[in-house]
Amino acid sequence: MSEVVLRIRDLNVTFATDAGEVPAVRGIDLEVRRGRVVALVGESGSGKSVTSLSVLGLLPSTARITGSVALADGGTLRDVVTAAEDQLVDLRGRVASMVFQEPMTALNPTMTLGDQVAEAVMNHERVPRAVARERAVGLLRSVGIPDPESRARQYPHELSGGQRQRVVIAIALACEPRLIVADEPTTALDATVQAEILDLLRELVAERDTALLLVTHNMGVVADIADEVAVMSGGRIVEHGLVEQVLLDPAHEYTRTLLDAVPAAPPASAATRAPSLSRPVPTGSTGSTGSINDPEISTGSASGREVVLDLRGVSLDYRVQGRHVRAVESLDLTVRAGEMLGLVGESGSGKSTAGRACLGLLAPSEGEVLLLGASVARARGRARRRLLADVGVVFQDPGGSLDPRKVVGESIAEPLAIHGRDGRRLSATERRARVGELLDAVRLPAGAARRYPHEFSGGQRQRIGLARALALRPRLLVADEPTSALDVSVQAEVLQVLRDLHAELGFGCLFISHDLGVVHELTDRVAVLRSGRLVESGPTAEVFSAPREQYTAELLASVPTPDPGAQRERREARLRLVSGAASGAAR
Amino acid sequence: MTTAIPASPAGSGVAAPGLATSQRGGFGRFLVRRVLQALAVILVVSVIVFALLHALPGGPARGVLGQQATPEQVAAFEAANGLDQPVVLQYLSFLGRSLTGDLGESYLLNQSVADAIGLRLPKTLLLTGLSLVAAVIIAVPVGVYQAVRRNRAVDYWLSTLAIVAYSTPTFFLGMLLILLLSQGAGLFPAAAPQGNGVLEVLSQPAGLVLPVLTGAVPIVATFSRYMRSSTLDNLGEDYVRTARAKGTAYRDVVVRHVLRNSLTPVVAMLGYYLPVMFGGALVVEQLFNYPGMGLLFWSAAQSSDFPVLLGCVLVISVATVMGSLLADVVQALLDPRTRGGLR
Repeated sequence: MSEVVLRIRDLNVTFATDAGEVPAVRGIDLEVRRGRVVALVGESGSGKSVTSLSVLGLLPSTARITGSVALADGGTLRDVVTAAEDQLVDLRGRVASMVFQEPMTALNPTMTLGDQVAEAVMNHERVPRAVARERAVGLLRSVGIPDPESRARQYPHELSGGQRQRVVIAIALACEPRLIVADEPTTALDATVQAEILDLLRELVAERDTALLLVTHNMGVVADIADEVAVMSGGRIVEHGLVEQVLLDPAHEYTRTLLDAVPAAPPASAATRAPSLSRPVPTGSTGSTGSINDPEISTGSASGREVVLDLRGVSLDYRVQGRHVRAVESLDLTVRAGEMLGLVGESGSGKSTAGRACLGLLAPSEGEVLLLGASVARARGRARRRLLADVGVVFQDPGGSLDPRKVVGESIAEPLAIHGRDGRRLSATERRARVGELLDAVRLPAGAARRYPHEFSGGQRQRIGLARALALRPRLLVADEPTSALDVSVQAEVLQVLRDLHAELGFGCLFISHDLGVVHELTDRVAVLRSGRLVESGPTAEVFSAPREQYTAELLASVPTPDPGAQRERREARLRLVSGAASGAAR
Repeated sequence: MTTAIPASPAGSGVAAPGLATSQRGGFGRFLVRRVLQALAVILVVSVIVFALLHALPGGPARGVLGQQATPEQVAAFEAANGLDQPVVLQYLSFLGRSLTGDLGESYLLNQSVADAIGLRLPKTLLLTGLSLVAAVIIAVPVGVYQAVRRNRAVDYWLSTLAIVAYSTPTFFLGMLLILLLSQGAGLFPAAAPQGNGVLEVLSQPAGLVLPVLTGAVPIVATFSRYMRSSTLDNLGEDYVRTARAKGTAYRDVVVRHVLRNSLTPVVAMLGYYLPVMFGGALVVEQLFNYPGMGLLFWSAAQSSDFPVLLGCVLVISVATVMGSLLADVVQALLDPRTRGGLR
């Protein structure tokens, strides 16, 4: 067996808070050997990030640490827990380094990228600045930054999130450490970018025989890159083993629940095939090349029902400093009563902007947004309010979208107080009764109405948001990334509630998400958006099993699945797709 | 001074208003737009000053001729100076005269307003400039030190001291300094250097110490608070953790990474402080009998010398607009995100 580069023994971390000592990590043991990729997985609050920060002695001063965290330096193991600050400064970056979650904020905004990489070199080697700068350019090249010479002179804001994460990785590699700790390195990135960063990490680790301790909540990422997995829950490691064994045959109950909660990735067969032309193009759109989305596409039970939302050639602009920036270009979408339409796309694709337009928050510069057949933009005053009373909305951030100074009951009752019901005002007793019904519908106790948002967990808050959205029995629900801030098990819970309510109440739902797994599980039809344009749409099962567009196929292949074998196939399929596209473009 | 000690300079209050919007156009565009904005504001200021001139008791004619002038004298003066013309024409000619530096005559000084101000403005700029430089040199390290030692005894003591210094009225502080350092210890003279030119004033540096110090102390108190909270904000940023994780010593993290980022909003703040500094100069110059704008304004106010007062208002307004323009430009220069266009 290869040499140990990190040995954690009986690590305990507690935090001193106003409420007393709060334990975060309770006695874990972990070993990482040279050249191995060990994934530390768990949900929020499981102690995985605290564990990763303790490796470099980066925990805040409120942390009380016992046990040992030893890093291999030359032939000896050096303990981080007892090390003085100057010893830690010597170890950080040289023996072990770190990659963080948020590439957008992880770099100093006022220092050039080259200088930030060069600083890492000069921290541990006595080399002239010019030499360090040259090394920095080399490092930027090795992490796949194109034109590294000029990039080195640029500032972080001039790069995309994925590029910035490459720079952070270059910094971590600068002194050839034996261990890289990566804390959710791809969580903030789009699926296609995530796949590229994972490829990069895999290559670098193999090339340099570096060990990687990868902290993640994403089982697909684990399957994609890890050799071993340690599953954390409540500050303890509940299961540790080889990746195939843990993911395919979990021994611990918690691991099983966690894996069950992961939404099934769209079928692997879709990823392994190139964009399919075999799928019959629906009749009616064969002749018209302009409109891919045909409202007449058969959608099973929902077809023929009333159209609740109709976007006709909608273009949306943002005004930035007097200039118009087009976010969405002639988009056609329909949502019928009782139907769930998934709107998917990567960040910047315009999906949230489209959602805002459906809520009447943004007027289209071209085209029309029709709610229940009436134009939102043309409605004024009371007519407009009545129209919008038929639309409910759930936002991404369950904490931020509830007023912290109002009890939950008041927040849920607010739409009732504003709009009344059936054109008449509701008495306080009627409102209270309705709030009780709604809380019951989202499976919260009636007593919840008298409590404040901070007393609830993220998942509970999102269910409260759902209750508020449904208070007026809307005909259309717009859900913008409603579960992407939640842990998978909590996400599963919230989605179940949404699915049940949808079946019961029969509203139309525009479900905006970047998560293809969730969309695959939940929706009837899907529309794929890229750079503000509709790429492809149709019944979810069809689009996901036989995408007609190259982009959809790439997107599908980028979603990692928590089965290591299947994930390997997906990855290869994706690489074929991408290289096929590249050579296609070259021709 | 009436401004409260702010909790966080990095918050919305400090960010220069023109900046967030300047990102796409590039620095050149931003600069042009910002200068045009400043010119527009100055034009508005000139309208207000013109209106004030006409609001003088008895109008500008009586302003110039004095309250004892006969109606015939007033009528003759108005005809001679075009005051019987339409208001718009009068404003345009006022604007023309102001642009060429003709701000009228002082009642008392036997001097044109432009000469009176021209002689004193450089000396006030010298005094406020020295105070500002001294204040920044002291306030920045104090603020950073407090942030690094946050919530320890030394931080609390320095904060207390800052609040005491801040709440002490300038005239009282000045008298206290005179009592302690001049009459008590005999270190510096209590009177400011006299003389006509800046060079003459500079040749007596000992006399400048107390006025500069009196002007600087309240600014040190304010800006050390700004600097402390700005540094604290930055110490909590992700990039600090990245820098530490690559093995940069904490001290270097503060000096190389945090300092510049924390300084950006604070330095920009200095420009907005120009009017406050002029307000301080009023008291300081009076106290130390320093022959600057403050003293001119003070004596003009006491003797109802309206042309001089309005001239001072115009100059100070223009200086305020220029100060905020400077603040925006400095901030844009310090922050690479506002240089060049965003991708």
